[in-house]
Formats: sequence, C-alpha cells, structure tokens
Amino acid sequence: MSITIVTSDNEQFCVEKLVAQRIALIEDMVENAGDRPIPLPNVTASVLRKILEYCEHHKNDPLPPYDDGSRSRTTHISEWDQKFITVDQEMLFEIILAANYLEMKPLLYVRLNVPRVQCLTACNAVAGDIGCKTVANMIKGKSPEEIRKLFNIVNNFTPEEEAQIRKEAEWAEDR
Amino acid sequence: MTVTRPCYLTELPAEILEEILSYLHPCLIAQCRILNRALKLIVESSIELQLRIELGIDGYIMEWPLPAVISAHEMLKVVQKRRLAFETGTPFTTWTLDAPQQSQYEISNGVLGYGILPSSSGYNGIRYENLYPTSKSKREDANHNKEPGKEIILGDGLTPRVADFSFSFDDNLQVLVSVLSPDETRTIYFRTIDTNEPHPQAASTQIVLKPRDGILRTRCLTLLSHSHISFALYASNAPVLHVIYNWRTGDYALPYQNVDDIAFLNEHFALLLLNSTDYIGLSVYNLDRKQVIRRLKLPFRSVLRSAYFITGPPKRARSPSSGKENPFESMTFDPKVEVIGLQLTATNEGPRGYHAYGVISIDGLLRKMRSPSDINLDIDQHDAYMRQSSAPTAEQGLEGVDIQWDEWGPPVMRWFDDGDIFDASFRSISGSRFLVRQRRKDKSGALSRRRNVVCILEFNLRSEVRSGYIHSRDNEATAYNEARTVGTKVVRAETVIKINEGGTGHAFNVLSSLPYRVIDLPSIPSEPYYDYYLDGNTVLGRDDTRYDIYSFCPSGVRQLEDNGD
Repeated sequence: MSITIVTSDNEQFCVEKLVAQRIALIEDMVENAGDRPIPLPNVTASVLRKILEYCEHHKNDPLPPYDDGSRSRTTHISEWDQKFITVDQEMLFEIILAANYLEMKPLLYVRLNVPRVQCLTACNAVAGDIGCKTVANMIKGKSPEEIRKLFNIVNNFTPEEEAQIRKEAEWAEDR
Repeated sequence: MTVTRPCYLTELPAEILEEILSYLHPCLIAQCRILNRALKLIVESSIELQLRIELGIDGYIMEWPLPAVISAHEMLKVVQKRRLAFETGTPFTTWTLDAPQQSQYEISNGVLGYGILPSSSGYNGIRYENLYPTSKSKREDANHNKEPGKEIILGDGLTPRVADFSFSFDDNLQVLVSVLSPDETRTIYFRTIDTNEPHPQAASTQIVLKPRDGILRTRCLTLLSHSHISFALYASNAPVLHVIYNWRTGDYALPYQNVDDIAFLNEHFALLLLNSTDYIGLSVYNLDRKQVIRRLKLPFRSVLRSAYFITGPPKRARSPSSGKENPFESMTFDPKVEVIGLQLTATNEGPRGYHAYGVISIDGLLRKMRSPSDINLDIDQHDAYMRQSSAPTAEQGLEGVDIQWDEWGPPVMRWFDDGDIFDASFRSISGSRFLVRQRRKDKSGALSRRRNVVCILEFNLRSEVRSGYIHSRDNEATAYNEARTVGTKVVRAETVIKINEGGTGHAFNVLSSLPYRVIDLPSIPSEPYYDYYLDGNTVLGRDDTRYDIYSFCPSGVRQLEDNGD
C-alpha cells in the first residue's frame, strides 16, 4: 500500500506506507487525509527525495535503547549517513529544516510515554541529528574568522564590541 | 561583481541552533558568541548552553524537560550557588561523624566509607555515610544534622576481618580485602553493598592474591575505577607490587608488576608510577590491550625514597532520578581539567625530609601524546585515538615510547616546593581541585612566623574568568565579584623549584607552568585536623575521633527557595 505526498513545488511522490509512516508528521496526517494526497508546503521535492532515501535506508533499524541520560553525546556519524549528508550547504540546512518541520526531532517524553511514536521517531530523529552533528563538526577546530567565512556569517559587531567579547572569551581559548 | 551568498546557519530557528551548539565543547560554545549578534544572543539566552558552559559538560546529553525532577534553569541556579560557596570559602552546612581512631577510609562520589569495630589488623564492619545534605530540618538543627549512614557488619564467617576495602554505589559493589592469612595470602571478596552478598555481576565472587616471590606483603591497598580494581601490595623492604583486576570479566589487566603507584585516567587507561634505578617516570597504560603506550620521564636522576599519586575517585554521569534533593548526582565533572597529584620524598634528610608535590593535567598529558597532525582531534575521541596510535607489536609489556621530561612536563605540570604544600592526603583531589594546607608568612608578625592556611588549588581557570560575563546581568554579580577577589590568587607564571636529591647531594631546578589559582577556605580551621579530604562539593577534616563535614552543596532546589531566589 502506498500514499501520495505533494511537495511545495507540486511534485507528487508515491511512497510505500511503511516508509512514509516513519515520518511523524505524515503519520498524523494520513489518518485525516483518507485517499487524498498529503501536501507538504514547506518541503521541496529535492529535499523530500533525500529524506525518503534516508527513511528507506533506515526503515529496519532497531530502536536505539533509551537509557538514563548519561549517553555519550558524540558527533560520530556512520559511514552511510556520512555519505548521505555529504551535500552542499544549502541542501544540508534544507534537510535540517525539513527534519525539524516533519517532527524528526527527538521528543523525550513522547518517546517514553507513547510507544507508537517511539518507533516512528527513532529513525527520523537521527535524520535531523546527523544534520546538526555535521554542522557542529564543521564548526570544530576552526577560528572565528574561518567559521564566519564558511557559513557567510556577517560580523555585525563594532570593533570595540568585538574586542570586549574576545576579552570575555579569553578563558575559553585554552582548552 | 561579488555575489553575497546567504547565511543558512543564522537563518535557522533558535532551537535548532541551540541543538547544533550543544554538540560542541563548552569552550567552543562560549567562543561562538564572537561570531555575530544573533549567535551571541542564542548562547547567552539558552539555559541549557549556559549550564553546559558552567559545568563544563562535554559529550553528555542533558535531557530536558526531565519530568518533575529539575529544570535546566533551576540547575543553573544551584550550580552557581555552589560555585559562589566555594569561591567565598563559605560552606552551606557542616556536621560531624564519630569515627574510630586511625580507621581505613575511602571516599567515592559523595559517600564516605570507613572501617568500624576494629580488631587486630582489621575491621569487622564498614560504615557508609552520605556526604550530601538532604533535608532542611536536619540543616536547621545542627546537633542532629547527621545523615543516617549505612552500617555493614561483616563477620559472617566468610570475611571475619577486613584490612582494606573499596566501593562503588553506582555498581552496588564493595570489594573487601581480608587480613593476611597464615599462609600469607589474601582473599578478595566482591560483595553487594545493600545485602553484603556475592555480587551477581562479578566474574568470581572471590579471588586470592598470592605473589610467588617469597616476600611477605604486609599491607594491601585497593583502588576501584569502573570495572578495574588495583591492588597495591606493600612489603617493608621490597618494591611495591601492583596488580590490576577486572572484576566483571575476571581478567587481569596488569599482572603482578613492580610499580610504585597507579592512578586511573578513565575506563581504558591508567597511569603507572615507576621509580627504579633505571627509570623514574610515568607510564600511560592501556588496560584493554595490556600494554604501555608512552613512558613519560620525570626530572629525577636517582631513586626517590617514596612516590605516590593523589587522586579523585572516578566520576560518572548518573540518572537524575534522585531528583531535586541532589541534582549534582547526575553531573559529571569536566574531564578536560581533571588533575592527578604526585607526592614524592626525595630524601629523608632534615627534620621532615624533603618532599615535593606535583600536579598533572590529565588532558594536558593526553594532548602531549598526540602527534602534531592529530592536534585538532576532538578530545572526547582520545580513547579511539590512543587505541590506534601504537602498533601492538612494537610496544609490549612495560616498554613504551619514551618522552623526555622537557618535551612533555613543564606546561602539563606544576611543581610545588616543600612547604608550599604540606600534608595533602590520598583523597584530596576532586576534578580540577586540590585541597591542601599551605604554610604562609605572616605579614603582620615577625618574618619567621608562619601560619597554616587551608586552601584549594583550582586548576580550572575557566570558572574564574567566565564568571565575568555570566554574572554580569545577575543580582549576585557584585557580591560575587567582591568575594572572589578576596584571598584569590592566579598563578600563570613559570616557577622553578629546587629539588635536592637524596644521597648524591645533588640539587637541580625543575621548571613548570601549569596555571592555577589559590582559593582560601578561611572557615575551615587548619587545626586540629591531621588530614583533609575533598570530594566534589565536600571538604572533610579528620581528627583522632571524628570527621567534620563541610558541605558546599546547596541541598537541592529547596534551599534556593528558602533564600528567596
């Protein structure tokens, strides 16, 4: 069985229901939509294609075990995911935004209390996470100037302000 | 014509940016303020990011909202309260525990354990006392401000007397070392704390230590870190023998070796202290692969009379299930600024002999071992790095790659001269803090007059400087800034101490430059205690019959409410 999704640029996707259900937002909309196509006005076709690729690859992943909050928060990314997320910056941030919109963010208490959603978000949570991890990895090991250049961040401080903040952040330089 | 590319990063919603930044090391989070106004606002307005900076949390997820436990905002308040208490040397509460004279003790993650019911060369029981104040009523009534401790009476026929012990409440484990048996062996028991029964996760419920070198080892001391426990076997006229055992797997990570002392760096690595005629230095030992990775020379030429480590117990993140009463239980210390102390006696000449103390930055040590091309490696990956950094065939046993003192030591260590520090105890380091007594010249009196001051040497300088902006919009700012200028001294300069080596009459200079600052604790008397210990939020003073507990831990959120926060 499959369902139809329409993206913001009017492209129609015919998606296996099992795969589509891995996206929390779509799961919620399927029940109300009946046979009608599901509109995703905030996601373009190219981005949805990537997201579905991700869901397809991870559809049989086991649920990561919930533990006691002491999980190590590493920025490690698996090989397939690394390849998947090796995209230009525009696409990278589109994926992060789409994952957020599609409720692919992990919601702890939802996961804990509602087993149905637990299964759905487990896979999806990671799609948004690897995007965030990738951006974090891009920031690591760079000087402020290099970070600004990489992300086109406009430095909107006055020289005096910048000097003051630098002074405040001195302690953090030697780590 | 240049085309301005858009900045996708700053276009992201604040909560996503917060999520991204939370993957970074706290120092880097703080530095992101400099990028532009939007990012500065996000870092400064995010309670979670501020808390990460404040606690130096790196690599651990803090899951909020924690239903009905404690909010990040409350946690931040508690943490700042605690720091203010330490900075001003003002404990929140104090109480006293009676203890038998000269009993064996261990302090681990907020719990003090000590031997009770002494009998010849051993104890028939252990008493465990919680070092966290938990109840408001107890605080108010100083005479009854005593936590109900847990008392375990041994002597069920299997363990008649215990000479030493280690414990971990995280693992519900107590390791009991029997007194020396007539056949010169010792039996080690792995028991649960709550019921004193054989521990279900132990590979063997008991093991027997018997080094077959014919030397009578009259003392056995233990050190527990996660799955590993080290046994130090002392003889009156022979080098110290060490063995490291993994109580979960039943494997010996270090077979019997002449090693003067052992300190655990983390779950996978230990530091060995070697003091012999052909080598005086530290060895970084991989517990999983059972081999030395690096040998770091210390600046001594002739054998020291004695040398041992001063360490803190291993820290780990815990479930915050203990709730508002004790939010600190769920926090780890900043692993990057943890330090290990080194006490050595070069010679026994003079009335007290010649002693020196050294403090080693664990992170600095691990950094020094990297090759320049790996300098940008994320620090939390150092385990992975170290696992692949040496070929197993090249370095076996206690051999390793030698590094000369000058190549690693001076920026990573700080040496203190005899008298700069005296009488530091086995458990007087916790995280980045080292509790010591210093002998200082009395400015008002005659030159020869000296007084003793109890103080903390803080090797995490971040907390000192970062307070500037964190507190700048806070009511407490004034009080805080005034407080921290009193009795606080930052030492960044290189210092040179002169070390007199015994026997040879040789003296030489040792240079070191690990920065630290001194925080005086005027409310803790330098007499009459003969020993001082430090564990997280607690200072302990020990005299002949009791422990005095000075707690710098605000007892949960309730205390904040009491104070009208």
